[in-house]
Order: sequence, then structure tokens, then C-alpha cells
Amino acid sequence: MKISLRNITSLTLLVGTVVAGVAQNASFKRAAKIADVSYVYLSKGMLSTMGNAFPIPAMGGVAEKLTSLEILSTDNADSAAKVADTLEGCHRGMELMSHVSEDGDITEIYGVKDGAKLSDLLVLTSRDSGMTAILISGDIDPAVIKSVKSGR
Amino acid sequence: MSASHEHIRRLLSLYYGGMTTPAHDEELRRWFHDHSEDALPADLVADRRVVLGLAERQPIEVPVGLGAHLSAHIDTLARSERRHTRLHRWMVAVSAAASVAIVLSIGAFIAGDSGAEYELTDPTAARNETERALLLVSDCLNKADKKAQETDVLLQKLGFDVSMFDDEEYVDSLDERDAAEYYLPGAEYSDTLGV
Repeated sequence: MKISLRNITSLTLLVGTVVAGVAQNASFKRAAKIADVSYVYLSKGMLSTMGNAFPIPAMGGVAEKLTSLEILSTDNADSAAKVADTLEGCHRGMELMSHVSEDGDITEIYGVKDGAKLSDLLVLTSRDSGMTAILISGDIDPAVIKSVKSGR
Repeated sequence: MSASHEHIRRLLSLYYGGMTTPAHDEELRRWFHDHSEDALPADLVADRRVVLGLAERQPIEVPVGLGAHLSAHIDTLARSERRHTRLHRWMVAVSAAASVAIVLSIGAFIAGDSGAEYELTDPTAARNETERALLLVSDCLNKADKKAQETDVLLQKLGFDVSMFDDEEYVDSLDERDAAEYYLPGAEYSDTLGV
């Protein structure tokens, strides 16, 4: 391939796109450093091997189509407030699909639509005693995920 | 006379082709000088004017040192071209090096912050965490659905036409093939979340 300024510019743009994608879950890792916060990262490799390991049949089908799953949770109210501040901009570029406030629990669902499905789904649940944030990426069909609960 | 005209015409042919010698040029000049226009055939009158007109012009003198000056100018242009080529190569090389540095930095950043330190490698723990997460997500999605349905009912009671909020772009995302793969028999599904 001939090295030209055009190729170099294209490469730089590609790198910029990667950086933008990485910046989203970087806030999860920053929040993971807060005291009393647990953070779990599951890679595509791990998710794809689970297949039939779940007691709920549909769950394996959901998991194997994901490219990553991140779970951030804390039962400490002070830590939850700090986590909320850290995650402030993590849903930038995502669409707020639902906001439910019920009995002191607040649930927000953000997503990035990819045709009829989603490529990213962020669920934030907070309560007086703590909060949980889940970020999943990949080929996400919300209807199928909803059925996971229904079929149990 | 006619033979002389033919000779002059041949010389003219060579003259216009730039193939005459100085002796031929001088012969033409003298011949036309000795013959007035009245004595010439009509087709040679114009040639006479051309030959005599050009002969009357002073030869252009080449300035002293023109050759050296041209050589120096050509050398300058060649040096400039080489300098431009070297500069362009340097620009490409520096740009490529900068891009490689950026890629390496980003790679190091991603590698250092890829979540590897938090990644679960124990299959049982990974399965448990995945199950917990998906159940929570499912619960939240269903809760959102339920609230959306309650809102629809409330709006209908208030007299709103809720069908105006329908979004055809995001109808139920599962086709029959997917449904056979994923849906559980006997389970009820709703899709009021908009996806």
C-alpha cells in the first residue's frame, strides 16, 4: 500500500473512532476504583463459551451474541453517589429509552439502536442503599432478554 | 528564364523547410534583389517579399554568457525539484511516524485499560454474574414495559389517541425464525419499550 497523506488521515480517523468507543466503558473502570464498588468485566471469549451453562435456556443464546458485559455495583450510598458522578457522561451518544421511578428505586435504560435491535444497552438502577450499572454490547435483542425473565 | 524559375522554386521549397545553406540563402537574396516584382511570375512576388524582408533584418546576437546563465538556471531548478522531493518524503515519513506513535499509544491505552484486570476467568463465577446481570436487565426492561402500558391506559382514559406514538421503525424485532429460536413456549411477550 502506498503511504500517502490520504491513507494516514484515514488511519487517524479510524483510531479516533476506536478511542471514542473505548472512552465509553473507560468511565466504568474509573468508577471501579471507588471504595466499596465491585466491577466485573466479561469478554466476548468468555461469554461465547457459556452456551448451555445456564438454567434458563434463552440466556445462553443472549450471552453468546454479546461482545462484552460489564457490571458495576455498590451497596454503599456514598460510593453510589460517587459512581453516579463518574458515570455522568457514559451514556453520551446513547438514547434514553426508559426512566422509571418507583418506590425510591430509579431505573434508567439507555440504548444504541442498530436496526431493529441494539448494539449497546446501559441499565442504571439506583436506590437509597446503592446502585447497579450494567453495560452490555453486541447483538442485543431486548425482546429476547425480556423473555429470559418470563421463561423462568 | 523558366529553368531559372524552377531552380528558384526548388530553393524556396528548401528555404521554407529550413534546409537551405547560407550560400543558398544568399543566392535567393541576390536573385530576388536582381529581379523586380514586375519581372516575376505572380506566384513568386510574395516569395520575393518574404526573402528580401527577412534578409534585411539584422541577425539576433546571442548575449554573452547566455549559455552559462541558462545552465545555472537549469541547475537551480533541478536543485529546487530535489529539495521539494526530499521535503515531501520527509513529510510523509514524519506523518507515518506520528500515526504509528498514535496507534501504539492508543494500543497501550487500550491494553492497559481493557478491563483485563477485572475480567472474570472462572467459568462458574462468570456464569453467575452473567445470569445476575441478564435477569436484572430483563427485570428492568419488563418493568419499563409495564410502566409504558400503564401510561398508555392512563392516556387512553384521558382521551389521548396513543396510536399516534407508534413508531413503525421499531416494531417487534423478532421474526418467526428468531422467535422459534429464542421464545419460550407459553410465555407472554410485550414490546412497548420501542425496540
